[in-house]
Amino acid sequence: MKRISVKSLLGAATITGSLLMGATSAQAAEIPCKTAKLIVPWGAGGGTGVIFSIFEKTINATNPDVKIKVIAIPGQGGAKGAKEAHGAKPDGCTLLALHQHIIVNYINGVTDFNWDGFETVSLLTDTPEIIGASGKAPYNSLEGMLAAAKAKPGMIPTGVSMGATSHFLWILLGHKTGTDYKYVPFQGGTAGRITGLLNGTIELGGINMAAARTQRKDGGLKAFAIASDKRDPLIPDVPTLKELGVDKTYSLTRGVVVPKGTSPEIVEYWASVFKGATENKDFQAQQAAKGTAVIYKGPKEYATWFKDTSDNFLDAAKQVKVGRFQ
Amino acid sequence: MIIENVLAASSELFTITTMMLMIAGVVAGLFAGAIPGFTMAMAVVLVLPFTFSMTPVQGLATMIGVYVGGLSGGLMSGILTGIPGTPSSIATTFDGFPMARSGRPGLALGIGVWSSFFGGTLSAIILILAGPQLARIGLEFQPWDFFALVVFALTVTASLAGDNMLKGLIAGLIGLLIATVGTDVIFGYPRFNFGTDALIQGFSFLPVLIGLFAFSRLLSDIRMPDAANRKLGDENTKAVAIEHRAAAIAVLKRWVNLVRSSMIGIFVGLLPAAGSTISNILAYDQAKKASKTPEEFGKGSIDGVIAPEAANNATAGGTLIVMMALGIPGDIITVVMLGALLIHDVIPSPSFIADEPVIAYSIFISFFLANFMMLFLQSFTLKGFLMVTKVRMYMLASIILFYCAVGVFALNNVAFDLWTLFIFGILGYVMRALNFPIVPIVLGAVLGQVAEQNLSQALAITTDLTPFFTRPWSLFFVILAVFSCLYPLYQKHKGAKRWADFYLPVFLAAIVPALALMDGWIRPTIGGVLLLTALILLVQRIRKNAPVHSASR
Repeated sequence: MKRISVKSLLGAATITGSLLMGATSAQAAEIPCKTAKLIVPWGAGGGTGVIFSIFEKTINATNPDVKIKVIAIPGQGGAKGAKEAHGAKPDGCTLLALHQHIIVNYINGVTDFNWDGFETVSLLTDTPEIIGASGKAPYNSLEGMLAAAKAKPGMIPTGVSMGATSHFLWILLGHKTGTDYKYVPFQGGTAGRITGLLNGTIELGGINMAAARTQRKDGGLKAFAIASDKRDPLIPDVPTLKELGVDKTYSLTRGVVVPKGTSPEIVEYWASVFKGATENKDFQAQQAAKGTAVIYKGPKEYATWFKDTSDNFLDAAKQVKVGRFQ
Repeated sequence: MIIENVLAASSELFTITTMMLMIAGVVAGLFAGAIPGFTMAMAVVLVLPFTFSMTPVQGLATMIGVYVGGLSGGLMSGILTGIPGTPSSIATTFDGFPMARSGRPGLALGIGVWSSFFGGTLSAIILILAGPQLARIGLEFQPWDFFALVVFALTVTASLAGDNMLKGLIAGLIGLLIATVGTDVIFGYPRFNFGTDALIQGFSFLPVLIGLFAFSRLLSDIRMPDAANRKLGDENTKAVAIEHRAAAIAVLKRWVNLVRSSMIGIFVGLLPAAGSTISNILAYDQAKKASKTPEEFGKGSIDGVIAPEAANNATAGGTLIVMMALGIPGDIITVVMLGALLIHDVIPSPSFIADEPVIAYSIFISFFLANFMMLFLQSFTLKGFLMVTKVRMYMLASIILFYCAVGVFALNNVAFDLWTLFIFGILGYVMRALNFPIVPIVLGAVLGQVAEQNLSQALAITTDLTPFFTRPWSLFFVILAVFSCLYPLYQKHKGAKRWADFYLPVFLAAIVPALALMDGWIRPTIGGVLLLTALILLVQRIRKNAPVHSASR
């Protein structure tokens, strides 16, 4: 009994597990480590970090052959951790948690690989963007907002992280509706942007579910639309973009990939592990409270989804000439 | 209403499990704070996974324990070894370390602990009484105001420079230069990375700080073989006891400094910018400027220990107010706390205190309580920590350096951060050897990014520069910055040149317009009082000076 616990401790401590090479798991997948590292390319405590910490906990609680350990490698808008994973050995011991940032990184030239530089494992969660505005903004609907943007093209101050997914929301929306905005750099992420909206520094910006649920009551914020297929039961009064005549969805869709060249057996193994975790009821409830839906797509479907999404982004980027398409 | 909520929260909070968890949190924070290289951020991130399965009240109480412990733990290594355990206690080393070296480590530690305690408690009381109202101040700050605030904070460089102003300014500019390396905030393009991948996101702040402070100091300490063989304390160190009584009395006697430093701490906490890293230095600077004996600062002044330690604990109160009232996290700890709240489907908002009184009051009470736990537990951990003064320098240096390296790596898991630590250690060593002050570099490196971010936001909105002078907070800090720059000159000419007599009244009168422009009635009223004071002082000084003036003719 004692020996086993020492061994599992060792496994947890040696993250790459290289010390335990040869101590193969019973799985057919032959993953040469007891603990695989799941690289989260954002700071600990952030949205992606928390979601995958919960995955880590849920998965490790089932006592799998290979445990996972979340390693936060923030920087370069997610590209730093992605590069680390991209260069890792394709042996199933390194996984990368990501969302659309991988496409945006590529467009901005921070990385020279796109999503297809990896093997897709599974798509896991979906957090739709909410088009938000300051309580001080002089319009009350998406229609009013678009009219104002058309009247003053490139003049409405809009908070975004330059060159990140929050920036692309507006680039894509503008591309679709023929509008243009004045981008104000809020690199700190959603929290900084919401402060900017609350105090009226900026008029527009993407907001999260937490803010949409609470800050609208006393008029601090407005929410014009949610960029998903269906309305969210947490904020049933906010219409979808589609209902308002803008055929567009936009969410942060999180999933897991492994380095290119990883064997299909290992990919399948991880896909089944994550699939199991997404079926956990507690987990689904925790995510729903944050406006995140738990959806599962396997390796093939995930690849198809990534291709479509990437094409969509690249088209818009080419037309408005940003990043490497300037 | 308040009593009812306090009772409801207490029944949730005062269970054996929650209390044990909180104590564990404070101890974890104290250790993380005390070891240079380990930070609160790390401790709280390590604690986070455990809180998933706790109730919201338990999880928050634990994290608040880590928060308060971490803010106070840094003073132990700061005072005993001269190396700040966390960025929050940089200024504590200025006077705490000389005081400990001159044979009064017990008093220095006592003052540090009691200032932390009073600062934290004062901040907790204000949090309970005026939380939501104060939180609105945080919302008054727009990019122009932040930029002016940072400019004011940078003028502190002048008074931290010591004897050689020029070297101080050079050091400050080097700090700003360090902050420019990395991806620029407007276009997201890499800058000054010289084609290397590692520098695209710039230097991480923590390794820069630890390299400049800890590594360079250790290198200087073990430069000569006999110095390397020495111990930090002399042989009688083991007899040292923490002078609780003397320290508590000394702190309370200097209550003006205590209150001022706590207010500065709370105010900085209200602004989501830099938190306790800045507040401790600002409070130290103000204490020095207000002191009747500024020449004692840097040589072991009691006021110089009170100010930073009261301020950094008080900052936590301000940060918590903003998190609870606005749902905006000001630092990593509140980011993680907010994450923990969201998992339990509790979302802070302007009506949070009314909607979720039990959780809100649990935060108030546990913050209050954590300060008492910190005081009690630190009395024990300090005894253990005093042992480090008996270790030979070369051993201590290698152990501290090991922890620094582990801490730096563990935070972001980036190997380049170790090189950053090394490079800035060498840079710091050379600069120390050439008598450059180190703090301005750190100040420049922290504030440079905040300044750039806010200036680019301001200019992205409008290229018009008048908001810097028409927005009340911005105007307020611009004026403070101007007078802060003139301060060293004023100090030199005080009593000798006539203009110096008018420095104070003119300064008071100058900030009146800014206060008059602010919202509500409280601040304009303060402005009115200041104007009156300024006029009285002016008349007094003119009268006092008139005969002297005519006699000299």
